[in-house]
Amino acid sequence: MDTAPLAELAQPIPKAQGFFMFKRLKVEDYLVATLWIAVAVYGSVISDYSASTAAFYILNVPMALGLAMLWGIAGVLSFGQVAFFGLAGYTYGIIAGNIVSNLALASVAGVVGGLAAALVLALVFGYFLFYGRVEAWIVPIVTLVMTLILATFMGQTAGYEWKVGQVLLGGYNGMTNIPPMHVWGVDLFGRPLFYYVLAVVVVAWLLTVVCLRSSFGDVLVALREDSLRTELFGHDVRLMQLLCFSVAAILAGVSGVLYVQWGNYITPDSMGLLQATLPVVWVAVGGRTSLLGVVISTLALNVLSFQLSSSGNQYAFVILGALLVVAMVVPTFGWSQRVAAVFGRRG
Amino acid sequence: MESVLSVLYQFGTNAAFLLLSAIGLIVILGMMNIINLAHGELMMIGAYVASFLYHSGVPFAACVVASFLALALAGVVLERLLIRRFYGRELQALVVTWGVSLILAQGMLLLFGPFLASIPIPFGSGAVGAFSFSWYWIALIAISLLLVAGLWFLYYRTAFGLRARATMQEREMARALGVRTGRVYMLTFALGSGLAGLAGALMAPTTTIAPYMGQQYVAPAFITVVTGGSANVIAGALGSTGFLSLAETPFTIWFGTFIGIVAMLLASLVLIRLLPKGLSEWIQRRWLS
Amino acid sequence: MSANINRIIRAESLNKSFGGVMPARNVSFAVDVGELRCLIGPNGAGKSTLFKLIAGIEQPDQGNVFLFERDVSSYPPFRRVRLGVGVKLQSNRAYKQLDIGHNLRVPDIAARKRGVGGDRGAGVSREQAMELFGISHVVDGGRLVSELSHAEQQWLEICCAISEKVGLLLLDEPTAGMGIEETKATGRALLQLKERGMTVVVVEHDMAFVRQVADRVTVLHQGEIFAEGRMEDLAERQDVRDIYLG
Repeated sequence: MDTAPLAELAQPIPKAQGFFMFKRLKVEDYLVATLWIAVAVYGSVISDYSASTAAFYILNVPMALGLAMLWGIAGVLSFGQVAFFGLAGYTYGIIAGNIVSNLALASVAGVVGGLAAALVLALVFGYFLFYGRVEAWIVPIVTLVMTLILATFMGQTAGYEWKVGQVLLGGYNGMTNIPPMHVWGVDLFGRPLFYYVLAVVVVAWLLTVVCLRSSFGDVLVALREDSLRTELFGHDVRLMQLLCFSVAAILAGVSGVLYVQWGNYITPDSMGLLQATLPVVWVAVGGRTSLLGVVISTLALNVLSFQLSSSGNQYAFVILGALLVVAMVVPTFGWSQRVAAVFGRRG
Repeated sequence: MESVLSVLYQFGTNAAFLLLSAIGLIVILGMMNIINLAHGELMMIGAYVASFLYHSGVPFAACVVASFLALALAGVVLERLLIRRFYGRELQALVVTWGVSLILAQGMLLLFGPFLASIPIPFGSGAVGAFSFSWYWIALIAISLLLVAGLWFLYYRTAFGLRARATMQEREMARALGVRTGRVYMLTFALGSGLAGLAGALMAPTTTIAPYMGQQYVAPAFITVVTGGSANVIAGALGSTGFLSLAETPFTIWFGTFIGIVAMLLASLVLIRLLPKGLSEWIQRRWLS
Repeated sequence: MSANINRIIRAESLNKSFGGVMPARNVSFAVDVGELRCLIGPNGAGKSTLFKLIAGIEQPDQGNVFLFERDVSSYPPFRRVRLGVGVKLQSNRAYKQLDIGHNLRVPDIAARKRGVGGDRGAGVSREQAMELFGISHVVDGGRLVSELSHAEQQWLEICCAISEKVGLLLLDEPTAGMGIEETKATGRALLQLKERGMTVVVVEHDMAFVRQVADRVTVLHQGEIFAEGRMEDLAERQDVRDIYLG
């Protein structure tokens, strides 16, 4: 297996100056930064409606980055990202929907509440998961179970008795009329919404980069390679896994909040079996450990499935499935990272 | 009297549902450690095969057998082409099988449309006073127990079973002793696949036959297998379906299906927390050694 | 290093059984500060199990473990390590996919945390340890571990387990796969570590090595401590010889 181009891409840039942090950044981080700039420019030239659609493609990136950190770097495969996505989205809907007097406060409180809910669930469930000495292969299944519990529970919340304050949970049909983001006296739609989403996503990406290009990231990788050995150096491995799981959950929560602010609705399907596997697909195809690869594949796959299904093309999921099989069978780290490596070679 | 029968019947049908959902996966996940996310689709295709044959005039029992054979054959193909590349790499197997599941489900939708002709439920219903039941479900309870008994016999009383268990526990040692491990893996996967198809065919009369019908069996199957554990798949299967149905049934009766499912899921989480190696390991420790 | 600890390791009545085997039967074991102790015994005697029970990788069914006179029986491995213990496991377990610099950073990050080790360490830095083992030159960071020779990889692993805060070094078969000269070099390095105040406990098979380094030797047989004493004395004993042949 030729890892030379990948190794090149992974080496820190030799002549970095400035803050200590900058020495740890990799070539791919600069490439992703360039990508965000390109996306920002793109947002200024397209129509308002296209900008709104583009916002949808981008908002899933934080959730994928969280899984890349949790699975790619730390080696913990979780199907739970969509649970945090959905929980944060529903919580935002409940909080923002109940604060009718002050719209700005409603959206801010909703954001904070949504992320807090995701964090609390992650800490509780993560404690159970990592301190319970379960075997590694059970984690994907148990996180899937957690997600299904949430989805199933929310699915049966139809009827007028299922409400929090004045917000109906909506059962199988979901929660509607979720307030959008409200800043400076304006509800965000279209192009302003696009830039808001982009800004949040870039911040989330920066958070991921800081986590990974630090000693925390170094130990996470070591943990994946050999968790016993890492513990025998004195690292509290379980605490680190819990922290990583929580950060991934917050990132998924960010995506969830952005989603409801974009679409103004959410259904239990967003936490269903099919949805639960999507982040895994994005990260797997994106090469798992490469942030550049994961960002590209998340954007590309979202664009692909959105375009295919909205044009009535039923082949979307067949293609997706085939891509997955190919991505796993081709014995490298996935096609996105190969593409990224090609850029690295030329750059 | 009737309410006791009703509760017992519910318990039995819930347990049979879990057992049939899981029987193919018990072999593939429980014994081979392959996280087969295409399990639901294998069951779906079993139902499809049964529906096609049934509506061509084949008697239902023969349809079920045909489903088993068809899916066993499909399992051989799948294993040879794909699965064998991922032994020891469970997480990649998971992703690959999910891709396969997408291709199968969506492919069936494209080929045959959103629904297939349903199979009427055989045998009709019986009644004891105000409590009415379906004879077919009684039959399913019996069949599922028979299947487990058959698996036990196969794995604990035949030469193949011995070789298979040896291979699963200690592959290199088994190979050194002359066991053709590649063949064992292939046959085991084929068996698991065939059983999934068989279960799908058996369940077909109880549900709508549609491309995504397999989804309803996937989570129960995984939970059953994981709760059971791999120490002794037979003990695990029986123990875990019993335990999970015990958790599910009262809540279904009091609060409805959804809450019943939630209760079952929570029960499995609690059990995995207390017994990380599954029920079968505990059963084995307490009673079988 | 504080002077009021005599016994750096104290294990009392350890019992461990699983799957019908009993690798530890009522084992009581103690090591003094500054000692270099070797654990020997035929295959299956329970050496690795005792090692793991001390390090916390396995929990005994009964019995207690004291490190630095502190009851660590309920401590998971990382908490025991933070008291000032360095552990190197059997077989080559360096992070093969990561470069050497990364391999060295991981224990460094842990060692730098506050509250680790305290005054229980022997004050030997990792750089000094690498000098003792003759591998200072590999610190150019960018190479993969697999590019080093087998012995260098083993020495690297031992050095990864050492920092100023480590006062007790636990090594499981450090010379496995090494040639004669390399084994002797390892022995010399361990003796120098001992001179600087490090307590070293080694599980070993190589008798020449044991003779070179050990102050005292503990012989395990079928899960029990069969004999303890100086190597010269034990080597004379017929019953000790017999357990290796029988």
